[in-house]
Amino acid sequence: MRRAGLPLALALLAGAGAGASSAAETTAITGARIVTVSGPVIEKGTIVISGGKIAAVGADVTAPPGAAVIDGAGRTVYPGLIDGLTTLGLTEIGSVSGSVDVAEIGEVNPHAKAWIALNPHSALLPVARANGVTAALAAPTGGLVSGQSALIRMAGSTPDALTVKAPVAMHVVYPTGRPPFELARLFEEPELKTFEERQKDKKKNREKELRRLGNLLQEARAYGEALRAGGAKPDLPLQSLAPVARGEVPVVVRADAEDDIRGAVAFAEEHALKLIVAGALEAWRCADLLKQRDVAVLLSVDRLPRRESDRYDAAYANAARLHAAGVRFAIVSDDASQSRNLPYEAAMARAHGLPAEIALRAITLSPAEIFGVADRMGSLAPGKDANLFVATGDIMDHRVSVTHVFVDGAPQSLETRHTRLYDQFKDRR
Amino acid sequence: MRRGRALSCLTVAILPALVEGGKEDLYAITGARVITVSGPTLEVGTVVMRDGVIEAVGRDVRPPVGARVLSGKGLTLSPGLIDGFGGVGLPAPPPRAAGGSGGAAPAPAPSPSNPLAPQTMALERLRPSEVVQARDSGVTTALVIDREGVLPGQSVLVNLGGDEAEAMVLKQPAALHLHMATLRRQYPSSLMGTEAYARQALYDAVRYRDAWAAYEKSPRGRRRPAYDAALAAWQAVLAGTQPLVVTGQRENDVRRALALADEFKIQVAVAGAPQAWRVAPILQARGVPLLVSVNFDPPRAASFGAEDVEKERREIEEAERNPAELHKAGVPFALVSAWAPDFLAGVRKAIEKGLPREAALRALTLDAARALGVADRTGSLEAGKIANVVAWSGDPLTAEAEVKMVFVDGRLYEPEERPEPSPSPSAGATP
Amino acid sequence: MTRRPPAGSVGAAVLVLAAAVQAAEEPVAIVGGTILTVGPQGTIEKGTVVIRDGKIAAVGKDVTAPAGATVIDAGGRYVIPGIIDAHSHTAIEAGVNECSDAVTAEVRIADVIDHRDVNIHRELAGGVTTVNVLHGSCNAIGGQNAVLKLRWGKGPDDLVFEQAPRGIKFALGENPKRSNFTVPGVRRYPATRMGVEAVIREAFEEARAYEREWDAYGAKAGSAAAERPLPPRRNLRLEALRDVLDGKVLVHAHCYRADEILMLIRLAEEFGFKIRTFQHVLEGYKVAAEIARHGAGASTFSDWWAYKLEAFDATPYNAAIMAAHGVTVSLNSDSDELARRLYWEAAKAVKYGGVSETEALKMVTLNPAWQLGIDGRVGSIEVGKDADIAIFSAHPFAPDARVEATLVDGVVYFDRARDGSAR
Repeated sequence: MRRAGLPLALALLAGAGAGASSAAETTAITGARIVTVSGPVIEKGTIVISGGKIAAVGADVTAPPGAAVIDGAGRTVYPGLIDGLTTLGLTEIGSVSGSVDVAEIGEVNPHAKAWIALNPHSALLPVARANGVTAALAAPTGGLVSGQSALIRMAGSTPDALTVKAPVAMHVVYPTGRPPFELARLFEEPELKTFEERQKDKKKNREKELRRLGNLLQEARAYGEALRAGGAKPDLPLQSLAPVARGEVPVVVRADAEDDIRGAVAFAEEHALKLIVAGALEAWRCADLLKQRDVAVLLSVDRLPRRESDRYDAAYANAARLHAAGVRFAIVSDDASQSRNLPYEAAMARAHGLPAEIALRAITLSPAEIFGVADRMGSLAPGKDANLFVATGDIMDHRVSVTHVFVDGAPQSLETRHTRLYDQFKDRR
Repeated sequence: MRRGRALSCLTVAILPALVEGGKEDLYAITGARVITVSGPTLEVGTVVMRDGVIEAVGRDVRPPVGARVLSGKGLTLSPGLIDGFGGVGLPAPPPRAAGGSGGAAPAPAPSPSNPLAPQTMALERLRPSEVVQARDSGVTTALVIDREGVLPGQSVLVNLGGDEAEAMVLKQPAALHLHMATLRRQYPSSLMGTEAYARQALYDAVRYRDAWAAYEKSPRGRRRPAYDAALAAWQAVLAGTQPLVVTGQRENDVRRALALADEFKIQVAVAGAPQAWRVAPILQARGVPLLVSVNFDPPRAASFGAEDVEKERREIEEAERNPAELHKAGVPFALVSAWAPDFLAGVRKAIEKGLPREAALRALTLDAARALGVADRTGSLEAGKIANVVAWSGDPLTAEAEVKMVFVDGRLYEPEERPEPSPSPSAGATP
Repeated sequence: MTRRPPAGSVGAAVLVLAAAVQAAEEPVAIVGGTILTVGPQGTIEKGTVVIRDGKIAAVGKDVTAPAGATVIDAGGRYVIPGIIDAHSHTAIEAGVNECSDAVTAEVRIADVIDHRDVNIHRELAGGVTTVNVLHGSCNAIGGQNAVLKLRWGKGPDDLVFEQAPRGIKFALGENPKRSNFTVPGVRRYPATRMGVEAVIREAFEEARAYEREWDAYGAKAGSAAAERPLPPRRNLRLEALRDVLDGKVLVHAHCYRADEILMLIRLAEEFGFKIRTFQHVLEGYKVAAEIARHGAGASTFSDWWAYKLEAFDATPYNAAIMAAHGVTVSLNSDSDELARRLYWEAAKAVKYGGVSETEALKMVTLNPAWQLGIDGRVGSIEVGKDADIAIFSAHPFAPDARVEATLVDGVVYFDRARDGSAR
């Protein structure tokens, strides 16, 4: 097992709005291959971290005196990965409801705010971080309107310390018209319907839900105006929806089927919403439309094709086709416990036509841009937050290990629940 | 509409004396187009029916003395249609509690009968009043079995006329049925469970047979075996005197049926079979009687996994073309309703998708009779066969053709709200 | 379903295959690739594999393609044994689980193989050639598995891996005791791990009694036919369990927690049979020594965790630790989606615990072959074995690796240039 000896993690106080960073330490990683993402690859260079920010990066940069030096020979430095769609911080063990806070009861929960319920001590956070993920979108799920997401950094001992930006978006699940899956239904007498009946039902349900959503947005718009005028009764849901209705906060709509994606685009246009599509399994079928309407996409790659008639690699090649059409997208894990595999989703897209540098961008700078934090993270450029990691090679190579991780300039422990169990049991005979 | 009573052969001789006019049992339809199915079509012909049997069919047949002569002008006669698999005559099941979308879980509707009871007789639930709609559409014979369950019991083959269920019987029991379906919350709840259940039942039935045979041979000094209605019900199938009809929606249900036939040396038939065309060579080689459903979009449970609407639609379209493909492959089959809401509409759909009309009619008459083992007595307009005859206002199985008259066991039934065809001049006159 | 490749291939740098359907009788030569044999020949650069009658006839650097052979140009490519997924639920019709009883040893996956499942095609596209299709984990003792070769296009009987030993599925822990779901109106025993053990124990006590009954009948059957009693009732469920006792059926036991792993080892040894594989076995690393002593293999996930309480102590170092203790470890998918990328799952064993690349590749080839009792036929590229082979565009662990072609019994069942869509 390749695990570098590290100093213990420093207590991390750097945070958005939490005051000036106290991590005044300067660190330099020298003689490394540096993939900045925002510029050309530096085959052999140095990156200097100071005061929680990237101070300098380049082939001719030298370590300042007094800096802690990490020898980067044979290593590659990357910007910290940004996982653009997760439930990190909101869930621990999927089957243990006491540990799961991702989906509230009821179809409409715009006022469910992810940053309220983050668990900074979740065992899942260090696990993701240990493979280079330094920021993630934590988003509620379920229902029609799931709630609002926050961008979190993968270090911090309070929800505030974790939160980089909140809200990032309102999350909606596009109504497919199908009833939601319930395990109990497996054991019940099923409702028997013909195919045609089912399609009609779906259409009816979908239209009903879309009308409901449209009405909500209209109410929210009016409510927002009333709020500004000063005379409005408390209404948490409408209050949360008002900025969305005004187009100030984007909407992430989960949709996979081509018809649903098109429906989401039409809906967003009708209601003047800023649209991001998540899931987007069939986005390649309407890439031109997405480009035209400048809709960004949060894409997971490791999925089965939707249709039996699809090419076997339809989901793998999705990203490449979006890229060719000029659509903005990020590759996401859409998970929590497996956020660490983010670089491997990007790898699969890369193996199926996505240029390698775009695959990397899709898990670094692109999500930063989509969430409006590209000024702070997503690439290795002076002035940006020092979120970065060092790897023994190409991070999209499954064999490669991460040796160092920095969040806001502070070195992070790579110890996780998994490494502790390894240490504890590896020699038990 | 005059409906005759079912009468035994013994009383037929004295009937003319008891009933007005004395013409109830003797009909001649003259001047009609006659599709015999078993032979060439007569552009102008006569069919004579006496005592429930076709007495004569031909171009130059003269109506016998005392026959009620009906003009067949403008009419086409065909053998009565056979619906070789479905629920004609059974009362409709109670409606399920509506589930709604995303609301409270639907209350499970209790099945009216035991889902694992091969001894159940469909005849016991048959209601003569329930067959009128089918008969009005030209169906004169139907195989009746419960739709629900895995072992719904034994079907009855009935002619759709008569006041009492038993009087309708053509063959009782007709077959033993195995639906390749699953139950909820009880064994078998998976298809492999259903297969295992059937195999275990058959092994138990074999042992039951052997136990009783041993006892009958030499009962002294042995404990008598226990009677078991379910195991007793399997004995005719094991003996090869009754077929096991396996209902299945999947291609592999045909294979599973044949596997059972091979393992237990029994006769099987396959019902439903919307994907049968894919295994046409196997069906050809094994000569399996095939009851092909025209219920192309039956009510089904929603799938749990990801949806593939395109595939579902494609499978329905393939099912619609299934009969045409089987015909092309030279595989004989019956077309059956399998609880289709509109049997004839389903047949017309199959025709629309490439099954020649003539082949469809054969699949509803003589080929159906063959599949059900009654081709020696029905399924075509031939002298000596049962007088199940339909008079259509045009080409049978077209949307425009109306059913004008239906004869079941030689009794005339006229579809409701249609004017009675006027009888031609007195008996004895040539058409 | 029969497939005909179109005349000529599309795109540059693709495999060259005969335009006509490849006949099984023609020899095939895979030429010029880097062969990761997973066998004693190790890695062969620019080597050739010759296939005759579906078997590997020759492997080596200096092997030449026979005259008349169909030549597959593997220059710049990697040639590996077909991947074997030791935990699959692909290609099952109408129910992975017979959930009604806690013991359902009589049900057989082989009765419900869905040969038209498009995931067969998709898994071929991921280099998989053999799958262990298992009953689900609803019951302490589930049904009998089916080992299949992915001969896409053939009927269900032709997918069965001939002569693969029979197997059966056990399940321990949260799933058979229904910790995470309820069935309205039904409370099925067991609800604790105590009850899971009791169910299995009782089943094997009954199986023993069944065996005694039949042995007694067998003894009496030697006497005169007239006196011969009726045989005992043939009980398909107990018959399968008796076959387990007699060592005729490999046991694949889904399990998570270390204590239940030990429980099953003890129970099996008490009844005189072996567990062939522990499946999932996410806490296997805690009791790796005991698993190795018993002689079971372990088939696990590379890194899934945290979806259930019993999966919370999972660690991706599981495979490495168990392997270091001498357990034969395989990495599996339990997922149609993951099954397509098992070659990368294997690479994770390198990352987590420093397993060598060769050993890691074994975890999806020779090791699962051994676990399924088919290592005499598949799992490595060695003379005499079945020509089940996957050809990759790069080293299977490399980040841009992609399967170019997959052969089963020497027939190309997947060719990336030819087979875009399964239809």
